[in-house]
Amino acid sequence: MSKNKGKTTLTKYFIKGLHCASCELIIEKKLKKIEDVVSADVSLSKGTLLVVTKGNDSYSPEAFNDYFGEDGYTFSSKPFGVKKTGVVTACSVDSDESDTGSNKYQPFLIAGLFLMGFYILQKTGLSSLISVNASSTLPVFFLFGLLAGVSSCAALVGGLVLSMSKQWMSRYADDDSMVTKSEPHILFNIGRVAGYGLLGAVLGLVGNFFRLSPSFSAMLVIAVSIVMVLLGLQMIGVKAANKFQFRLPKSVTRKVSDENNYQGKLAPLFMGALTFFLPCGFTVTAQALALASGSPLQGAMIMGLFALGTVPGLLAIGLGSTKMLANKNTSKNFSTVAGLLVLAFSAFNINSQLSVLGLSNAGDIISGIGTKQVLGKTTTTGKANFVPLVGGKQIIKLNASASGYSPNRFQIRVGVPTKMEVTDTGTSGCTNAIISKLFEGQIDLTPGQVSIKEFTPNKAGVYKFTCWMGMVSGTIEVLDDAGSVGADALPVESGAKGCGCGGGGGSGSCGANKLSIN
Amino acid sequence: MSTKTIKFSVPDMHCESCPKLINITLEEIPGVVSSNASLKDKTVIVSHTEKVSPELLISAIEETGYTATITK
Repeated sequence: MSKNKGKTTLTKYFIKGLHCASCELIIEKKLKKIEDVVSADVSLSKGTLLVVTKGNDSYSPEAFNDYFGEDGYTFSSKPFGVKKTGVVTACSVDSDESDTGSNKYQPFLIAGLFLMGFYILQKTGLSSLISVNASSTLPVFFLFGLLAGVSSCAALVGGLVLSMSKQWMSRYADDDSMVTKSEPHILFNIGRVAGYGLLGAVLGLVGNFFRLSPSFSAMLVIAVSIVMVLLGLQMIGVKAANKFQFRLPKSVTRKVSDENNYQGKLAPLFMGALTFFLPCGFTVTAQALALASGSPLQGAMIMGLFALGTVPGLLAIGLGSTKMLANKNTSKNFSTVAGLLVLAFSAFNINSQLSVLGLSNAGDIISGIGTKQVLGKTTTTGKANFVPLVGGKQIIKLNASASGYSPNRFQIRVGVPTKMEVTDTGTSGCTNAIISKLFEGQIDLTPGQVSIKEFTPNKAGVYKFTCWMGMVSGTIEVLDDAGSVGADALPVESGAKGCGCGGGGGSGSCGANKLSIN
Repeated sequence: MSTKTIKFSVPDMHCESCPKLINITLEEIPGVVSSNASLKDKTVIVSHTEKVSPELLISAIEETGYTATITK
């Protein structure tokens, strides 16, 4: 459609095959070479081209198609169908196989299957198959790592690898061999094993002050997950996410550019090492034991073997994604599936880390709605159901297992010393410790034994207690004498369903709580 | 007039369009005989006549959003 304005004509075209800012400039420059083109304006996010030509004639899309023959752009006067111009950033050329209706939903199907598989893996308690404690021998840590590599680490670090595979891929031309393209993934894993070993040694040597507090690492994971959500959106082809270009700022590239592209090569190595600070439940457990070992060598061996154990799982994800992205026709579908997985994993991570921070997460909100408990100040109606008072101490007794705590809701008086007795009826992976804002440090659990923690709650309110990763949680309501939890109580009605370490806490409350007698 | 060749390193090339854009831009400059950019090793080799200065070429490349430095 062209509108004739006096002696010039404005024509609008739609373009497919645009993949980055340079494409806009190429098209605009080439068009300006045609003498009777007055101006050309390409928009990457909208995938459109506006051309103003002298006189009242205008060029047909076909004319442009031959003019830009070998550049891989196709022009048309009608939009190319909504989904098709999903611009995949990081410049892998958008393969334009014709998308039949069913084909479009295929990625969602595949992603759904993956997530179901992952969820079942968690619920069947695979994650509690192997558990490690201070006395377990080194090879067990390797097995522990293997398990982590396919469960919660796959969610957290695997998601990161998936989202980074796009960026790393774009640094190679299409015809590079598979080996060169998988270089970043190999470097990433080498960085992990070396980094974990080194930092494990530091843990063994220097001990606790080096390790991040649970709430700090929770915030770190949330921050990274948010970045992953953006990358996931990009992979699905959501145009709005294009603005977020995940590239080092120009100043950095200029500084290192003289060692011709040195900076690009080793970035994955450092990123691998830095994942030490992105712990999933398993990693934290291994870190705790490396710390407890008190010897740098032992610490290094524990963490190094653990990281080695996670390599197969993570490498599979990395190489798989490189292979799928490499060949044209699967790359579009794959990046949608990968994008969905990255989104699901990041939501899953954010949700469980919220619980570690003691905030109410999706699980609580949903179970809150479930019990028609209006979110707001939980004032107990009628007589509070306090825990027994023995010898001047309030006694909290509960069983902890890989799938949850029972009972998992308690009410105690503020200001009265409290003794928490936790019997471990089979925790593993990341459920072998309890952390909470109510007390310092954590309660370490060993299967079959009772662990005791004493503290005095000095402020009324609703507190959560969870495993390392916040998958499994419970609530302690500290009531003042009026039997209420005070003004700024968190609106959490307990009922937080235990959902197994690494269990999907995200969508919907996962798994009804076993008989919770409270 | 004899032509000279000069090689630039352009590290932040990231996809196939980048070399194309750099070649088009440089070949528009009067006095540039040929420009051939490669994504693989992230360099641009330009052959040009006396009156074209390296600074002119660098600023042209930087105009398209890339950073360039002369490498031997």
